[in-house]
Amino acid sequence: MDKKIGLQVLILIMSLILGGCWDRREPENMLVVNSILFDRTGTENNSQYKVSFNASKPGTEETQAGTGGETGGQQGPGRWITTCYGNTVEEALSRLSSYSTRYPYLGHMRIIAFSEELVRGYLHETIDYLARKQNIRFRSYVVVTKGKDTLLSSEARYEETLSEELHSILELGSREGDSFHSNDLNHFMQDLLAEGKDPWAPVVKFAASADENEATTGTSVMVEGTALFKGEMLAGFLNAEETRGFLMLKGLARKDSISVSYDGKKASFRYHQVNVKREPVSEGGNIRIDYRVSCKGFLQEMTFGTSFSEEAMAGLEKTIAGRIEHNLTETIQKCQRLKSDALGIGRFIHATNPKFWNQYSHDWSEIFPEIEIGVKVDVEITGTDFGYRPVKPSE
Amino acid sequence: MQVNSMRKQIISGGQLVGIMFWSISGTAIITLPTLIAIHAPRDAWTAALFFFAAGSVMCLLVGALARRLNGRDFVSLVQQALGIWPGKLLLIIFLVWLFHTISFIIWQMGSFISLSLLPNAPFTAVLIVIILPPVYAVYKGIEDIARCGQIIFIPTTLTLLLLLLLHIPEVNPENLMPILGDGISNILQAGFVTLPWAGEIVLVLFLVPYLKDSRKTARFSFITVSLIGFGGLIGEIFYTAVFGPLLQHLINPFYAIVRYIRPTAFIERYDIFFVAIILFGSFIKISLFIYIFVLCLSRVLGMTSHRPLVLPSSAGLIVLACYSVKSLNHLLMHMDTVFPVYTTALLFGFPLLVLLVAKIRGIK
Repeated sequence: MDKKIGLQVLILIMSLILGGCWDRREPENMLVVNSILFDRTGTENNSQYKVSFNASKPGTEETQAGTGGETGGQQGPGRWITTCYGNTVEEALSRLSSYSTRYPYLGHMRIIAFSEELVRGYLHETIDYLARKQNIRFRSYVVVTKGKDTLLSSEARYEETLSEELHSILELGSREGDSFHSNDLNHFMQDLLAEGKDPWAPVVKFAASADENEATTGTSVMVEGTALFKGEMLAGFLNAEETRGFLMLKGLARKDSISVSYDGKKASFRYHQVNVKREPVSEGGNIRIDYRVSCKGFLQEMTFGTSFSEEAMAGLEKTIAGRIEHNLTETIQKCQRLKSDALGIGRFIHATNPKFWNQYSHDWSEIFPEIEIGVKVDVEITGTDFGYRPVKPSE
Repeated sequence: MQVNSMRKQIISGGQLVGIMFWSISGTAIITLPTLIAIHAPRDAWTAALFFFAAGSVMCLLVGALARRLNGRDFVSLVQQALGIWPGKLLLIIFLVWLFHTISFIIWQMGSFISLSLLPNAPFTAVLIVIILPPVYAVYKGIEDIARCGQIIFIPTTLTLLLLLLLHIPEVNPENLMPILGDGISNILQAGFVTLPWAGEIVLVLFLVPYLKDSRKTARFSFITVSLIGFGGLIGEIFYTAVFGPLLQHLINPFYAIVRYIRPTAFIERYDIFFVAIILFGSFIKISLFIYIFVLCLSRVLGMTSHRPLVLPSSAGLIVLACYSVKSLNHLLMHMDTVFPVYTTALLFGFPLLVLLVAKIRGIK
């Protein structure tokens, strides 16, 4: 009898929870934000946050235009781009509720973009918001946009949405070449907080198209180069070649091609394995950092005949090593010129030589541009891919 | 006073380890990494060593007292060693601490669920939902709690370990360098905040009469402390290596690390595993704490069963939980400053005093 009563009470309690909980949110009532762009607008004394979303509406089949707000528009079926303004990030985001029929959900956000305007003084406010916001994942990619409204005025070329396209480029593209490297919110925030380390992020800009007219209309985006920071302020940009050097020095390089001229003829070397060793060397109260980089790869292109003798290959390896060494030295000098320790030299000294770091950490931003950084590169050609001798008519 | 009607309930050593593991880790996994990181984010792993050292000392103390119980329960031993009224007074102080601490535990669990799952649900409703299953388990007795612990222990601990191991590609050893770079003072402070959790092993003393092989109490306690210490060490190394200086800014590093797992085609979100584990773990922790509270109170009041006290105590706990904590920041500050001082003094001092007096008076 007791068991029967217990069972009835249990069924009664279970039936109470069938209605769902207080916090239920049906997917069709959600505006799933795929990417978000933080910007500043207005004059220096009277500026505010401009937050733009690239969102999708689950359960929507038809094209739905964004309505209301300062700006809103459609990008495709069930896609929505909108912009809202506010004195704080939260204020801007909460204003969305006054004209959106759906609840903006940030849990699936893959791209967080910062405009050039924002990263010139307002980064920490935005980052603090992102670190606190409940649904935001630290796995989201961080990018810096170059050019006005790059993301809003661009369209996807290969994928359904711009967010998907950007995400695919950041996810897959950085595995295929070293002209940029993705960086997520976790690492970006760590670099912002760490002593002796500055943040960096890949740069999104208008795609350079074969058709010049298309490029000027800005219909698509590309990721290339790196934005370097000094603290929370944008210090400058590295181009694609400098980014390759930067990634090699950071130990993030995966594979890319380097073209060299050897005896007046062209050759392309594609590295697929890069090892980096850093060593702090103390000399009479000063410290020097020695980088030793070793690259292994294939010759991908050769427009000259060679016997592949040890001597000939050594000469070619030396030429490629010299080219890489030059690239790395230029990259280091640029970082020093911009006073951005995105390479993490200070943090490396802190980790390996804390006594020296404690002595000089307070002046690090002044010491870093002056510090001596040496680079030594070794190149090993491990093959010529599937070809042996160059395919060219005999002379 | 002999344990009468409840004496028939028996738990094995493995079950004791299972329930004690979650009774200590249930909140340690949520709060402790944050408290440790406030002081020593880079050397957070050293706090696990402090926990292990303090916990081992406590195990020796528990073992020595367990050998003196000889069929009695701990409440009887306290009253016999210190005298009825001084003993009762000390037990009441312990009960006040326990009641207050359970309210913190319930609040922490409620806050975690509110933050992660039900941000708009009324907090009192969340607290009631949290406390209902433990109330039922406590009513049924220690054997039921132990069986639940036995079922929960292996799947939850293995899943936790797996969730951490999924981060191996993200580990950056440079974040742990320089070793001991946070400074001895900070490392000691980080170690100090772990002591209340190490002291919680004292609760084993109340379970000795139900233990199948009570001669091995110290051994089972030591296994529990070792498992938690090892888990803490691994966990802290991963938090620091994955989050670096960001660790100091996170309200719940374990939840953050689980949310940071790289999505796969098979599973995109791992959060729910962690939330489920915390719910299971908190169920065991709240159950055991309430059980020991009502058991101890019933013995002090001379009652034959703890059952009549379960519902009123639980209602009181919900009321106290609603009013004792203002916010998570308030609780964290309390747990970082005042809580370790009085809790460590009580949890280490109480059994030590009983042991010393029992030894002096020759009580065996």
